[in-house]
Amino acid sequence: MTALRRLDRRWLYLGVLLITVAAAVWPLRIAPRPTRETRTAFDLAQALQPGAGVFVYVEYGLGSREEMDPMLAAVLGHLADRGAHIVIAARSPEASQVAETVMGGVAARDPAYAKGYGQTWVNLGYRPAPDVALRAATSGIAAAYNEVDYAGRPLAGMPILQALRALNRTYFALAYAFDSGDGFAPMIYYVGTPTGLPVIIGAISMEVPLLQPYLAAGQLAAVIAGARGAAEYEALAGQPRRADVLVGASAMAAIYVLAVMLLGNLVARRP
Amino acid sequence: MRKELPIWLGTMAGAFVVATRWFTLVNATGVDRMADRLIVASYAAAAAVGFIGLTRVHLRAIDARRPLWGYSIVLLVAMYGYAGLLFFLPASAPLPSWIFLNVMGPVFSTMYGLIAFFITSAAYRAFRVRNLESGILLAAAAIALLGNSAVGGRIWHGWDGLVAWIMAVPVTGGFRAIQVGAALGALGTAVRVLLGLERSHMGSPQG
Repeated sequence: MTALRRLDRRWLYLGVLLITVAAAVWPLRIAPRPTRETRTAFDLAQALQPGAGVFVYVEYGLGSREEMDPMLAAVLGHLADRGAHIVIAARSPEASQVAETVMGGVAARDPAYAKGYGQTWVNLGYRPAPDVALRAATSGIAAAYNEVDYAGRPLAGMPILQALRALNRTYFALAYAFDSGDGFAPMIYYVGTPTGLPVIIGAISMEVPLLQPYLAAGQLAAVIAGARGAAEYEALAGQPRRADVLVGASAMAAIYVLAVMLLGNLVARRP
Repeated sequence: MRKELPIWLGTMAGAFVVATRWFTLVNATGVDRMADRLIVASYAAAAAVGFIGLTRVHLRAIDARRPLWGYSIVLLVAMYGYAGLLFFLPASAPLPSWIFLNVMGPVFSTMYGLIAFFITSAAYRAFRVRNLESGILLAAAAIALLGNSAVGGRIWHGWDGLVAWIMAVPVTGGFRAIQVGAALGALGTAVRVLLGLERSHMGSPQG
């Protein structure tokens, strides 16, 4: 018991390492039952008519890709299946690269998007002072993003932005933000609440409690929560199942952390 | 003058932004778009100041052979090397994209992944049941932990509903309280800056 009381933290770290290696070598697939929030997000996208405008704001960085990429890919894949016209923007330079990579993968599976850049989808990329650009986009997207896309190509000749001129309810049916920090707030403050456009947030698990007040107040239409939400969405939308493995790994880690927590309490209680 | 000018600048800039956000009549003149351009320009200026400041700090560290000065060389080479590359290629070109995703990606993922190690250590040493309140906290944490990882739903069908209740009622109430408190604090600070009463951001000990 004394040894456990003085347990070197490196033994605990070794446990984390073993769990990580085990999850990588023997992937455990868990398909969770969809929650009401994920189902709401799915239903909103499922109700889109072909050609409906959807704004996707990517706010997560490279550190959160493992958790967030499957979610973004599942939602973009579903939107492509519905024939939505997708306008992508980013809140940071790294997020714009992430968005390009994920959408590139989704577009490669669908000819309408693989050859439809500028018609079925566009990546506006990142602009300095991103909150200002987002707010300005509610009255004119092209001007807010300096009339060029992620790669510097002019927006003027792109049919998608001739149809979807401003980020508001007149032109768009849905807006998404995929976030790993507190970047969701500008989407609520500058887009969702002033324009009435339904906003869906896809977030890492840690961030979900922050979103609860906005969800309860009706300022958010739905939340897709972490790897579990991604796995639920993939199942609902019939997208490639990448997140089940993440749910399995997080289940193994959760059981380990819970065991460590209980052990710590047992050790502390013994005389 | 060294004190009064920054105070007046802060007051006028703050009042200008408040006017553009709160009064639609002001925006009819187009000043809101000018305010947006000023904010973008201030972002660019802040980045330039950061670039210069970082260079000075690390050049001094190298010059004085301070501990870990080798890392300063790595930082400067990486910063100027990547910035130099972007003079010749757009950020969306394959080479800058490849460097960004394959160098920065593992670095950021590692930083993010380290949280798991700290959480485990904290779970062992700090998450102790010392009284009723901490017992309730531990029980709620365990329920949420197993619920979010989909294990709870496999153990008992009603587990997900329990997690949904925790998120919808106690979590929502707690975060609402925190957010309202933070918003009132931010509003109070903003009013103090506008009135010139708040000076700590200028380095003055007077709050």
